[in-house]
Amino acid sequence: MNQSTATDISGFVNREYKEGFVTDIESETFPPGLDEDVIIALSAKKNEPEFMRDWRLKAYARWKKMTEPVWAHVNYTPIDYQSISYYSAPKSDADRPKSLDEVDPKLLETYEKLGIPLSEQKMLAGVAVDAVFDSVSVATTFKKTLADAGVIFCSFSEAVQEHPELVQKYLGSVVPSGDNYFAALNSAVFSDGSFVYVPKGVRCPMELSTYFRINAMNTGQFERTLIVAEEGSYVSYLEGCTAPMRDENQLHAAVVELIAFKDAEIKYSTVQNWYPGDEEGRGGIYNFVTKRGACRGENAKISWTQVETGSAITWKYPSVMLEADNSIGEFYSVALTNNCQQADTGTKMVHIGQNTSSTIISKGVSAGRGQNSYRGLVRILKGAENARNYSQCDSLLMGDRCGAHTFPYIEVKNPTAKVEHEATTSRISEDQMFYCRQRGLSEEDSVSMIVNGFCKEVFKELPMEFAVEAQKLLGISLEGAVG
Amino acid sequence: MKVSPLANYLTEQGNRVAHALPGSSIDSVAQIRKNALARFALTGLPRMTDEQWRYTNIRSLEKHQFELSQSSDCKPDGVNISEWRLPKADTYLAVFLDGWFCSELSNLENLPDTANICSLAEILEFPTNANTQSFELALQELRSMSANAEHGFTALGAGFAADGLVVQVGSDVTLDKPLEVLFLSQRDADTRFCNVNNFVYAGKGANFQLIERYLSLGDTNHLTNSSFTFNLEADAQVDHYRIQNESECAFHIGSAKTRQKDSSRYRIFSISLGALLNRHEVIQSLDGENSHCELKGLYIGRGNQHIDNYTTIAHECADATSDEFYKGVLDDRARSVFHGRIKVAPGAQHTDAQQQNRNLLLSRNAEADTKPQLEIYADDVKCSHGATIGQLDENAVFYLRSRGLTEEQARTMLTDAFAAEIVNDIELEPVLTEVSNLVQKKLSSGNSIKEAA
Repeated sequence: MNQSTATDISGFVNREYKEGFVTDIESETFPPGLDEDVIIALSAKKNEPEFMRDWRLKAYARWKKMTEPVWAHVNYTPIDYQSISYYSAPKSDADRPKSLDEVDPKLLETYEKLGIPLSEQKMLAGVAVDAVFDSVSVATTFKKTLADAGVIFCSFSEAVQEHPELVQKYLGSVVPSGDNYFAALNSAVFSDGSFVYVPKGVRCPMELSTYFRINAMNTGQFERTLIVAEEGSYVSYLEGCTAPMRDENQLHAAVVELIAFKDAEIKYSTVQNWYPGDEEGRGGIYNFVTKRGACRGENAKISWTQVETGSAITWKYPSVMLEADNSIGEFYSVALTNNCQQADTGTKMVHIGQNTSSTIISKGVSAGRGQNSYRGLVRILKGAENARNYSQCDSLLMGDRCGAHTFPYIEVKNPTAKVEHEATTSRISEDQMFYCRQRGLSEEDSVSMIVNGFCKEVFKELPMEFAVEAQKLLGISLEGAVG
Repeated sequence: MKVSPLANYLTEQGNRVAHALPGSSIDSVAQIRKNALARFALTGLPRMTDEQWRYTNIRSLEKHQFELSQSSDCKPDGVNISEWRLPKADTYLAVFLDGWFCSELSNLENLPDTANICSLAEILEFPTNANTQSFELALQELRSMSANAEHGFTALGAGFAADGLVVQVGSDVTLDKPLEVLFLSQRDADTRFCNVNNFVYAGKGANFQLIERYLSLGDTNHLTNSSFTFNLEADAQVDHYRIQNESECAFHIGSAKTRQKDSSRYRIFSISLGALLNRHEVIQSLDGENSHCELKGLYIGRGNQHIDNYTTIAHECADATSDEFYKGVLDDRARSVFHGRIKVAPGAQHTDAQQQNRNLLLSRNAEADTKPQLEIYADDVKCSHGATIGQLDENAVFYLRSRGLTEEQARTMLTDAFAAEIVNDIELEPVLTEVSNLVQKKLSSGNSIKEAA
C-alpha cells in the first residue's frame, strides 16, 4: 500500500474511545482481598441459600490449588488477585428500585450516554434490557410480557432467591466449578449476572439483552449467566459491553452456561467493546471468559456470534458440547485488535452424538501492534457417526507490526466424520483500495467497507440492531491502524 | 516431575559408556556429551503435557530397557548389501548397521575432490588436518543440539553421539549420483538403541540428492534416534528423500533440521511406513531471501502404529516461499499426528507459505489428530493452511462399482490414488519405483480394504 493511503487509513483508525466516563455513584464495596471469609460475607450479603455458599467455597478451594494458565498467545503483567475488591453494589441495597422512576437518575444518565434503551423505550426494537450496572442488576424491563409467556428472565441473584431449584439443578452443569482457573475464580466470587429459563415449547417473544458495564474503580466484575432452553423452545440473547475509560487494568472473568434440550435453539450474540487501553497499551480490561453450551437433546442447536473489538486482552472460547444426536453448534466471530490489544479467542466443538454438525467462521483483524490468535478445537469422539465440521479462519493484517495467528486442533476418532479446516491470511490490497477510491469513496469509507465485507459472514448472523452497532464499533476500533 | 525408569537408566548408561565412545579423549567432545546428558537428566523423556508431544504417548517405548549399540555389535559379515540397497540405482552408498558406519558395505569411491563424506565416529576418533572442517562442523552442530535440545531425544542424541555421516559438498559442485544413506538394523537388534547424528553442508551453488533409508532385517523392537542437520549456502539445492520402513515393532525418532541462505532450495519427501512408534520432525529455517523449501510427506499406518509428523517452517527473511503437503492413510487402530507450524517473522514481507494436511481414515478404530498453525507477524504475506480428515467418498466407490469393479478393487484404487498425489511428485526414478511398491504393498496389507471385499 502506498504512503498516502497508509496515512489516510491511519487517520481514520485513530478515533478516540467515546464511551469513556465514570459515573459518580456511591457504591458499597468490599475491601480488596480474597479468602474464605470474603466469600462467606459475599454469600451472606446476597442472602444466598446454603448450597450456593458451599458451592462457592468448593470452587475457591479448587481455585487455590490451580495455577494461572500460560498457554494463550498473550502477554500481560501478572494479576494480583488480592488487590481486587470482590463486591461492589450500587447504594441502597435494601430498597432496590421497583420501577424505572425509582432508578437513580445518575444511572439513567449513564445509560442515556451509552444510548441504552432503558427508560420509556418500552418496546424499543423488541428488546428487554436487564442492565447490569457493576455487580447488581438495578432495573429489569418487560418482565411482565416475558412472564406471560412463561419465560424467566432475571438477575442471577434474583434467580437464586426465587428459583433456587433451577439454579441448583443447572449451575455448573456445563462449566464445572473447577473447569479452569478463571472459571473457578468466577464460581467462587461471582457477584451477579443473568438467568434465563424458557419453558417447553415457548418461543421467547423478544430478544433478551443485558448491557454490561464496569463502573466502580478497581472492581473486578465476575458475571455468571445461565440460560436454559427446554424442549422445543427458542431464545435469542444479546450481550453488549462498554466501559468507562480509566488507567488501571481491570479483570473480568465471566462464565456463561447454555443448556439446550430437545429441539431447542439458543442464539447468543455478543458485542464486546470494553476499554482496550490507550495507544501505548496502558490500562484496558482483561477479559478472561469461559462460555460453553451443551446440546442435551436431539436436534438442539446452539449458536455463538461474537464481535470482539474491545479489551486489552481477550481470552475466550465459546464452546458447544454436541452431546445429543443431530445437534448443531455454530461459532461466528469477528475479533479485532488495534494498538496493543491482544486477543486469543476461538471455540471448541466436541462432537459426541451422531449426525452432529458444527460450523466455525472466524475473522480476525489485526492493526497497529495488535496480536490476534484463533485457537480452536474440533473433537470427534468415537461414537459420533457422520459428524461434520467446517472451519474457516481468515485473518486480515493492517500494518507490519501486528500479528495474526491460527492454532486449530483437530482430533478425529471416527472414520465417518468429515472435518475440514481452512485458514488464510491477507491484507487490504492496493487493487481493492484503488477500486473503491475510483468509485468516489474516501479512504476511510473504503477501508471500512472492505473490512466490513471481510466480516460480512459473521455480521449477517447478528440481530439487526446489533449488526448496525457492530459495524460502527469496528470503524471506531480500527482508528489508528496503519494501512 | 516423575522421572521414568527408562530415563534414569539411559542417563546412568550414558555416564557409564562415555569413556568408550569415539573421541572421548578429546575434551571438547566429552564436554558436549556430558552437558547433553545433564540436560537430558533435567528434561527427561517427552510427556504428553509438553505441547509439542500433546498427542504422542511414548509409554510403549518406555516398557523396554534400551542398550546403546556398541561398535562391536556391527557385524557386516553375511549381509548381502545388494539385497537391501535401492534397486536399479547407481548411488554413492553409505551403510550403517545398528548405528555404526560400515565401510565394507559402503561405496563412496570416485567422489569429486570437493566433496567430502565420512563417518562421524572416524572424525571424532582420528581428527586429522584433512578433516578439520568436518570436525568443526560436527562439533558445532553437536554443541547446538546439546544446548538447544527441544526435548529429551535431542539431548540423548548429543549425549550418546557416536556415529553418523558428515557430508561436505563444496561450492558449485553437483554430485553426479545421489547419495544413499542406508540405516539397517540387524536381526539381533532387539532393545538396541541406535543413535546416529548426520551433518550435511552444501556449499554455495552445490547441488545433490540425498536418500535416507531405514530398514530392519528382522522384526526387532530397537530404538532409532536419528538426526540430520542441513546447512545450505546461497543457491544450493538439495533434494532429500526419506523412507522409513523399519520393523513394525521398532521405535523411531528422527529429525531433519535445515537452515537455508539466499536463493537456496531444499525439498524433502518424508515417507513413513514402518515402526510401531514413529516421529519425524522437520524444522526449517528460511534465513535467506528468495529461499524456498518444499515438504512433502506420506504416512501409512496399520495395526497399532503411531505416526507423528512434527514440522515447523520459520520464515525469518523476506521473499522466501514454502510449500508443505502431508497426507496420511490410517487403518486398523493406527493413529497419526500432524503438527505444522508456519512462523513469519516481523519484516519477512512477501512470504508465500502454503500448507496442507489430508487424512484418510479407513477403520473405525483409527484416529487422526492434526494441528496446522500459522503465526504471522508481517502483513504483506500470502499464507494459508488447510486440513481435512475423512473417509473414502462413497460416491466415488459407487461409480467404480457401477463400472464393474469389485468393492475391494474400487477401494484399493481410490486409496492408491490418494497416496499417489504425494508419491508421483518424486522425481528421482529409482526412489519413485521403490516408494510406489512399498506404498502399494503397505496399503493392501491393512484390514479394512480386505474386509470390505
